Amino acid sequence: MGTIQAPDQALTEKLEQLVLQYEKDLLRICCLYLRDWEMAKDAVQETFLKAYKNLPAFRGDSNEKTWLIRIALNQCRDMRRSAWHRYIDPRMDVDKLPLASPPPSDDHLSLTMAIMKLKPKYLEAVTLYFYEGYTMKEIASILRISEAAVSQRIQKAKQKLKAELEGGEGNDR
Amino acid sequence: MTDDRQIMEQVRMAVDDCTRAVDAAPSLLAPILQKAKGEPPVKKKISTALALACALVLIAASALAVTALQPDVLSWLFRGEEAPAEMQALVQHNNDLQQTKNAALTLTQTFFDGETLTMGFTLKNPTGKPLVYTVHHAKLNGMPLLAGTAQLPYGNYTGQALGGQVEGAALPTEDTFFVSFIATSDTTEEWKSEVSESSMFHSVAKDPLQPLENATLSIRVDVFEPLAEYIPVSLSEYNAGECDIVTDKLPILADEGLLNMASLPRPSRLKKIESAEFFFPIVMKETKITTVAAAPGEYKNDLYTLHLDRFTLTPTGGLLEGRITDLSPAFISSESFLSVFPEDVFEQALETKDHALSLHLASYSSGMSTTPDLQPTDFHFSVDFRPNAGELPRGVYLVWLDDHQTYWDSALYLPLLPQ
Repeated sequence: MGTIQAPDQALTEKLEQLVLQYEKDLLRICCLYLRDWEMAKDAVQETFLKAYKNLPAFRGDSNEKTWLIRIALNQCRDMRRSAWHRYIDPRMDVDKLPLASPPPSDDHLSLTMAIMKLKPKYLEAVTLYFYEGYTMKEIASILRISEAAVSQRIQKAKQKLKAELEGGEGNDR
Repeated sequence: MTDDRQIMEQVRMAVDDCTRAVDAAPSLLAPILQKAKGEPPVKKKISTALALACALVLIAASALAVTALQPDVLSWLFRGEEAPAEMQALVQHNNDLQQTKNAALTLTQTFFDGETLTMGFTLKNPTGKPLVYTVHHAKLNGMPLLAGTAQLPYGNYTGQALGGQVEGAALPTEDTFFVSFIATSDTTEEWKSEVSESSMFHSVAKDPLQPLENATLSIRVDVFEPLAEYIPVSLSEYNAGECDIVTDKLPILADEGLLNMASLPRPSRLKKIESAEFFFPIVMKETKITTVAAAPGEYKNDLYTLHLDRFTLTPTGGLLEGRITDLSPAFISSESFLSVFPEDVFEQALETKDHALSLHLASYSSGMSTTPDLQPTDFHFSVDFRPNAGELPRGVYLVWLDDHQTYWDSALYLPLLPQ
């Protein structure tokens, strides 16, 4: 296959800095999206490797975390569409996330599972707006959609999570 | 409804509480750096013109929810990573368009690595009205082809909606598909839904694919007219075929435009309007790519005896098939799963207990044979591996795991030799 060249030391150091700084944030996002710890780790690794390959071309027109999140979401979408995910692993529950001690509260569990069950476009909106705290303009840039579409998705997501947010019954997805 | 700040606080507290263990989990830095050191950054992968074209595709994809973001077969096979040079030389560019009244099919590329034939094609709805398409079968010189187990299943029970709308959002009018064929096939069983026109086929491999200078690939596409409104369902609902949760609607996986047609309770929701066979001349050249393989035979450890039927790896994938007998009582589980680690990363995986370092699987199937009183006798398995742009390993370690534990101490080593 091709000749392997020695890696650029500065780029490797930059990669290390990015991993140490953003690894956990990306893992949480990928966990919510893929609903599986092992797949989330796979997605995060692929994200950083893709970022490393494209570091020389990164112009800094978005901040690093935003850039990484965009790569991670694309990676998650790709993995969800893969035949592996479609035919081998249709299960979906929070038990596939790494376990903590003591376990999370029932209310928190219910809301998190409700978020995980959202369709990808609503899950992305909830994660980026309510969890990460991005503005609608920033989310529009990350997802490459209009601010109006972002607003619509956030409103729709709020409706779908209404029961868990208000502690009621009768979820409608 | 609580305001956004309150929702923000609720969501953060809930997600943080449920993902607390993420903070305590071992860092992925070591495996990431290891892989990065083996794969130098590419400063300029594609030309400016192609980059612009790709950007436009991505923007269009976001706006129209088009599913295909990787239009060429190697990008699809290697999941966006740069394919090895020996693979790039094997791609045939076809761009052959065939059209009927209700369907336009373009065979864009084919790729034959000596064993597997992969093709990319674009299916377009030229009519301006919403239609549903299924790929019924593909044939090579009249012989049915068997797709790899991880591909879009054959039969006409997976429908692709092109055109129309779901929840006010327009569905794309075309989509790109990829499929890899691994052999010609014998169809041993056809299961026909009692309540719909859809069929599923159980096919087995017949003959391996051989080089052919002049061959004809034929693809049959069935076209259906929707007689009901589309309603979106979640991925889990789609996989479970929970179409009875709605009445008089067509449940569609909106992000991808897919219908699980086998589970439709009434055939009157779809009407077949065309069954079109498309023919494409293709070339499957004689070729030899880098392959490593393990010798078939018996391999033993303290838990079991592995009867290896086949283990081959190429840059475009691999296959591992075998049986396990002499099962130790400590290792009896029909849910057992397998991770395969290249030898150069196994020590690290052993230290970090990180399965992400294993070879990536495309599909996995297994079964347990038992005596009449349900005592396990052997465990057979078949694993397809995804293409890997990295170096092929000189040996691998097989590590079994089940719901209870991972058998790291009983890892089985298989040396791999070039073929």
